[in-house]
Amino acid sequence: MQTEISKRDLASTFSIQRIGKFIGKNYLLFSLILLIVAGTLVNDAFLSTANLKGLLFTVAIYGLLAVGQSLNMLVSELNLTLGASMAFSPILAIWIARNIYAASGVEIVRSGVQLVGGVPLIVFLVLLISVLVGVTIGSIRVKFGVSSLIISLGMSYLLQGSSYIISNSNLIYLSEIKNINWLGTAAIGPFPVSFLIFLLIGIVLILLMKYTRFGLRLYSTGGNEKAAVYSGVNTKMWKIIALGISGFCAGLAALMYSSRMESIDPIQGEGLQFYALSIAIIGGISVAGGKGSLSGTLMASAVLVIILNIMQIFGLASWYQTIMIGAIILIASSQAIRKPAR
Amino acid sequence: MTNETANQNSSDILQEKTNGFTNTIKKLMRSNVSILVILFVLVVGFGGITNPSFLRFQNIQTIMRACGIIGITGLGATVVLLVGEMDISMGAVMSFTTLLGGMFIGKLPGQATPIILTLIFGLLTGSFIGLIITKLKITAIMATLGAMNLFSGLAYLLTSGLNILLYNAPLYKKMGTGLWFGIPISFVIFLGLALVLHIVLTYTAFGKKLYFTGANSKAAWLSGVNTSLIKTASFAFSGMCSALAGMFLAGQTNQLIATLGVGYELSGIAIAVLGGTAIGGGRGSVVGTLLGALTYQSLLNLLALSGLGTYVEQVLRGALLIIIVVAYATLNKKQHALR
Repeated sequence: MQTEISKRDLASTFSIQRIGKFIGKNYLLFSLILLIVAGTLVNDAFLSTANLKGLLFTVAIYGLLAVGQSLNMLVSELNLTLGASMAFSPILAIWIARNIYAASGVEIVRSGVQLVGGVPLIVFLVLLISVLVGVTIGSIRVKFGVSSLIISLGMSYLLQGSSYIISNSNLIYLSEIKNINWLGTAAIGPFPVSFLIFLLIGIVLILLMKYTRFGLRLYSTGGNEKAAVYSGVNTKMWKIIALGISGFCAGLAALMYSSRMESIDPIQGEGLQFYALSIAIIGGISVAGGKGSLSGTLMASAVLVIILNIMQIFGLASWYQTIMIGAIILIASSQAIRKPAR
Repeated sequence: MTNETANQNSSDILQEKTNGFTNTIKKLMRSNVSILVILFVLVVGFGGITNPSFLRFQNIQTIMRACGIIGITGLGATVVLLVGEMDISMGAVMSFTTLLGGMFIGKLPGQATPIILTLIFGLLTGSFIGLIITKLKITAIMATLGAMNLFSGLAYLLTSGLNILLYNAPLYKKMGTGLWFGIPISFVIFLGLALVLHIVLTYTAFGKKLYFTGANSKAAWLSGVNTSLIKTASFAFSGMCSALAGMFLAGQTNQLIATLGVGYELSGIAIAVLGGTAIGGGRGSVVGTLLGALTYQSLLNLLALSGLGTYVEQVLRGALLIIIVVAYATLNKKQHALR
């Protein structure tokens, strides 16, 4: 009798259905492992320190944007300015800083393209501007009740054009400044500083979402807005906060990227908002809002970056990536195929 | 209680009948069409006074040519907005279908073959997006965002990122630069398409169903309207409009490039909303979109005449979309408060 039960137990624990369920629940972890195996198979240098550093840096950039986008999606908003903001914030920040310094007779941009000073002010301004972009979208969204998608779509074109206008379509080089590439290239062991900062922000946000009122409010704002309003949640404020945080993430990503490239290009970041969106969707953030967790987003950013890396190894040009991003958004957001996970 | 309100309503109607004239004016003031006419006259008047070259015949032709192109995208956007959805993929579909059809230039007999093929590709692409939305149950926003990336990537794939010059395509060139009695062809086609769409929307059962679906999709479905079909059809129409507008644009610039339609979804939606089409669906008219296209392009032209570059135009398109959407949201709120 007993052996029969234990046999049945054993059978049920190892039944295909159960394993399937287990894999389904941890699909991100399994696809990550599979992709790493695939990566090492197609590329001998995949696990080399240099390649890992490069990968982790990209994870940091895409991941930061994706975390921001996830927060937006959790309050059922979207921010399509994340990519454009990565160029606009530093370009406007340098323009402002340049004028501030020029007032006191100091020239911080030599011959129009070479930045030589004023970095602390610029860093502060970059973060401030990118947060303000998010907050502006949020404020228009809640004040006038128009969809954040349209506002941010218009805003992204506005910012992109402005970046070109302010910079005269020129690159601004940062290479004259000492240690400017610290944020983008420094590493502790195999881990780039940028990746560690991203991980830190991710973990702090995960903890905040899980254990504090901040998370509860965000989830309830996106889950059932009417109910949240009736139970006294200031949903308007939380939407603005979420969009503001996503702006901050974009600003930080801009700093890391510019630091690594030692230049600021008006085209940088273009289209990355869609990468962020697809990472958030792969990570299980519900398109309808209110469901999903940031830990999924963190893992999904690694998944997407490795996929892109493998595609690059096979020599698939950037437009294949665009196609894949489109396909991911289409397939993964289908409610008929996949039920959103809490 | 109900009787009282009913009485009140009937007395209201009586009053309305007696004060017919003042009410008509009030109604006119409230309707979007009259606001648009006033706005259009203001823009044209201001332009004519401040800039002497604005009302020159050549400039009017330029306005009409561009107006035809963005107007056609505006018609597509209007129909999709009317059923309560939104098509953000129009620009990408525009590039993709025009390039795909353009691949057949000189390879098939008949000058018009690639043009007809492009239109068919537009219909198919639009139906594909519509089917994805209705069958896979993806929200239109996500589906069209995905489609936007998918088709712009495919457009790059078709050209390998190169510019393809249109050497042997007189019909394309004619579409882009030709005139009929002094009026650019794109504008004539736009007016014709607008007329057909107006008739379909106002006088056919299909049009009624379309409005019904947009106003209350669930109620429409419960009363036997095939809302999925209506939605798919509207996306197919939007795809066809994108393809048509794309060919005019390709003919005008005389080349096929993957970035052909970038930003046109923006103008399309802006025009439709400017013309009084509600973003939630169920409200809007072709006449409004027509006036919206004229006003939008005149304004853009006036600003561009002031000697601003392409990037300024990009900024203006973005800013105009935000301003228009916000202005109409406020306006609608006030109208609701009045009722």
